[in-house]
Amino acid sequence: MVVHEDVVCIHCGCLCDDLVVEVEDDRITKVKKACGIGRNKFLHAQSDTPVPSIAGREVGVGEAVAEAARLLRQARNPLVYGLSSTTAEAQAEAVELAELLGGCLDNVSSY
Amino acid sequence: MIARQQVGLATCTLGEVKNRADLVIFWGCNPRESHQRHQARYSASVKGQFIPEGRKGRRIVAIDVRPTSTTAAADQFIQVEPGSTFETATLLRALVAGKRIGIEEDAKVGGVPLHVWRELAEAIKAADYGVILFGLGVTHDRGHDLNVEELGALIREVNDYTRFYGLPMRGHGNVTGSNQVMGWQTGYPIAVNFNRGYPRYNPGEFSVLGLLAREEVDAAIIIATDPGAHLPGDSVAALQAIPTIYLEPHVNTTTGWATVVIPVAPAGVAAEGTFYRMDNVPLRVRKLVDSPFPSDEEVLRSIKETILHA
Repeated sequence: MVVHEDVVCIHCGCLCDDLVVEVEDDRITKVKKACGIGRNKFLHAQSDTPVPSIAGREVGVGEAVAEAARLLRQARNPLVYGLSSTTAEAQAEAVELAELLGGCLDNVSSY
Repeated sequence: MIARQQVGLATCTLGEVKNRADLVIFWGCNPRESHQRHQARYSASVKGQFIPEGRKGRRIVAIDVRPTSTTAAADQFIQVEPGSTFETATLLRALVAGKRIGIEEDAKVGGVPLHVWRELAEAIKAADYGVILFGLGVTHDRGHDLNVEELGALIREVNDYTRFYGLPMRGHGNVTGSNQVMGWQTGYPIAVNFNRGYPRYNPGEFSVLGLLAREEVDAAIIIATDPGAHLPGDSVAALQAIPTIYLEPHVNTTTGWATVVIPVAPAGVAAEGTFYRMDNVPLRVRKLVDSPFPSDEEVLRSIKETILHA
């Protein structure tokens, strides 16, 4: 078992940075100090994973990425949107993608 | 966001709230349910360097349209009528400035007698270090960004008398980071358009709701949010009518209809990186477990490189 101390919670804007997370066989088994919502966020992080798909048909991740690129390249005015629960590094990639596509870019704080 | 561009916002970190604030006003937010450890870690019961007594050393005021667990735990609950944020913030500005108010002391503003607002204005000026923590009840009330503009003006003017700050209670983990990153890379925190090859900014015209309502976008890539759960029904219908690519770690209301679903490693659990706290302090989130799937960052980079090399 590995015990991670001072883990930053990813649930809300508080980013509580004192969580203790126990990991066994690459599964999160226990979360201490978090609020109820934060604890569930970690305990359920590895479940209910979707399958990569195109129009409902299961595919590999590589194929899904290729189709995503094809659809975005084909579009005249694509929208890059969301970004509220991912890293700043991913957000920076999204900005670059929007610029490359010549499309629109927005996040969840515009409404 | 828009309000901050108009009047700015005198703001502080949560560390300062913890260590210094002797007056905390929760306006249109309910952290005891939405940000459950906020009061214990930063804003109410926590002991601070200059607030050694913790909860007893702070006066807590809650302004809301209905009783909540946050209002019940406050020293004072001011129950206002819905849609009165702008009006009541304007009244507080006038009271703080000592302007003559042409109504009786028991006449109501926002459903609350004038003398209650006058006492609050006096408490604000008498505080050593005050802070207004405001939530969706302010930003999504009638008037929207104008409410925040008025609060920002109030906060700035109170600084003529004492130290006084405002802090938005940001919801989702790294929504603050999305404003930061867009701000440093494009110059604008929301609603950017690259049609001409350079960033143009126009909230409304280039905001997600406007773009979808006018059917101006013909494809979408959505990252780390659930539009099926958060956007209005007609916006969701507009997304369903175009090719929609969706990066998401969990099955939810959008994975069922998105054209392309790409599962990703959950950020801060199976992928590391930077998150910005609601007070704009960046913190490192960690990779605790392995995921069979790549991170948002890796998927976005792959899509970008596929397009670049096509």
